[in-house]
Amino acid sequence: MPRKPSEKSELRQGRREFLKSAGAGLTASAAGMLGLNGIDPANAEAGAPPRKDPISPPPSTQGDTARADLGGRPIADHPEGGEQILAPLSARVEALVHLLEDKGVVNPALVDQFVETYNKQVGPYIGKAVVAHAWVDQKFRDALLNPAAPRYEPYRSHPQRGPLAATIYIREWLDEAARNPGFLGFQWPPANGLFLTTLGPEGEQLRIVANGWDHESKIRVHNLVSCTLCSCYPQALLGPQPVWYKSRQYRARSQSAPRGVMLEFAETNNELAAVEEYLHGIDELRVWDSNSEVRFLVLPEQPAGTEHLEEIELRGLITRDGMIGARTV
Amino acid sequence: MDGAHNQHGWNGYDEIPMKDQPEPVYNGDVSPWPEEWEGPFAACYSLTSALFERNPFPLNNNLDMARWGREAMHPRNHANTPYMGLWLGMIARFLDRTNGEGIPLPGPPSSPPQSSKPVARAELTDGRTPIIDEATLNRAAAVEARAAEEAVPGFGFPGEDGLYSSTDYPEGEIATTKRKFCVGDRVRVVLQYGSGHSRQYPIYRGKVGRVVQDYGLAAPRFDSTGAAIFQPVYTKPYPDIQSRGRQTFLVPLYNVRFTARDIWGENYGEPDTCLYADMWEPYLEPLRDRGERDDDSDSDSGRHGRRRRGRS
Repeated sequence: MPRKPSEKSELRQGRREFLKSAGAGLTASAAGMLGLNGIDPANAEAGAPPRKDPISPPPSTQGDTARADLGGRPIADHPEGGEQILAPLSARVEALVHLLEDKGVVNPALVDQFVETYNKQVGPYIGKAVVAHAWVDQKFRDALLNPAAPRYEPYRSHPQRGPLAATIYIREWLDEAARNPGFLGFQWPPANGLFLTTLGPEGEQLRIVANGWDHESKIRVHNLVSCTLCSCYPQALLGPQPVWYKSRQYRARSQSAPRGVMLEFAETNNELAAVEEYLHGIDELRVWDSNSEVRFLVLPEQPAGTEHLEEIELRGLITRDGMIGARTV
Repeated sequence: MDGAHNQHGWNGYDEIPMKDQPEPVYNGDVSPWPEEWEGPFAACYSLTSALFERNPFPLNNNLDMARWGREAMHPRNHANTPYMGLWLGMIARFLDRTNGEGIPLPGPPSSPPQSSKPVARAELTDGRTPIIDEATLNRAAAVEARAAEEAVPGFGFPGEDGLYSSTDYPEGEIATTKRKFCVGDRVRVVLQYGSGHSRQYPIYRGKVGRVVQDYGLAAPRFDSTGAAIFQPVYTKPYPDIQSRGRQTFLVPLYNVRFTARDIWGENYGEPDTCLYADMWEPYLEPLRDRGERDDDSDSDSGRHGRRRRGRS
């Protein structure tokens, strides 16, 4: 039976508190197993100030075992019976990378170039530029959302239109925008030729979905993307995945409790109230399981009252998490 | 594979970690990889997959194989291995599968063929820092052997030679037969169960949904430098067979919409919620039984008209 919004709201709040206390009741080591290290349960209450530096690894006496989401230490069957504990992941990875390079399977220069490119030149700033442009250019937006049958020129007669043509529309716009010095704020295309003629690996088969009013179904929608098996992600536009996107927590719950996930992203009571209000205004929440080689990017809704801002300023409103749908913008 | 890695809808994992991980800025100092080893490791994963996806078996390595490699882990290890660690076993298994042969390396067509130095299993399991244990490598090989005898949706059981065939989908080519589904069709996801890799997950099996998108299909094309030529339709292979590394099939891909209540149950899924998943044609069957509930009323404007909530 449908509940009234106020009851729903309490339910969500209750779920959130459940999640918090589930973390608070654990011993430190169990919390480590569950990926809660670095989160002070007392500080995790809604309303507490956001943690300043959640990324720096906590002090550890066991190699990288302290954060299960970044460094487990699998137990393995010993060939002569019993069990053996393998070396910390960091050491095993180092040995593997060394072996691959030593044997000439991978070229160390290419490894360095890959790391440098994704550390410095491919990140969410690319996606933000695309989203901001879609906010100000109705024709571009329409083409991204209806790539097979865009309504406006020049896309309507684009020779490469099709169900997965959004990539080429974006590539052509980025190429054009890059001719205007300083406009994009990043080097386009990235220096190493990675992006080829489209949007390189993890972006060449791309689908864009928009939050807000859906003209086709005449309802307001919100979209959330999740790769529930692995971590498929539009890396060409957003860079490598954040840890939360890859976590089993997010992958497990994003389909069964997407609103719960969105509420969990709120850090303060004010944010929580804002997400609550946003979700009240949504008629349908759509969860996209990224289970093929198609990559999904969410076009967040432009916040009301920002129509006067320039395209470059609009980029500052957009977040990486918003382009996945975990946050509202 | 049906195992511990399919955590769809599982409860009890508590709070999502590191939701406030900082965003990298252009040319900035914030790395998207919190640990220093993650970048080089991601590079090795990416390079070995991209470089060797066109090698013949057993020197083949592709993305779908990589995904399957994670599933072959012992559930205990899968559960206590961090995300990036799940990929380590896959690269180790790829090296183990080379069986001491060097791996052919891509180069200009004019130059003589080159190979990497061979990698022996002992170098993986018995070096100064063992990269992986033997039991895990043996387990992966056993899983592959078992799956080699199992059926695959749309292709049934393999022949004596271990290869799959289908009258609907010719190997390496686009079928000339008509698409089985159109946008708007109600479909049911077929049942399957096995050790092989599939991107048709347990939560979808037997469920009824509606086709909302046909992605089109084309064989991948490459220019003289080996770079892919852009085509605005789906060009990637059928993962269930691609993951086995021996054959490539191209089958149509659709996007299918399910209501959350059809996936999770009337009283358990969040209301006004839909799940969209990509489904290869063999994953689906037409909905013939008209007695079955055939309402997708969550998406019908009528229901929304009644239930639309204001901002008040």
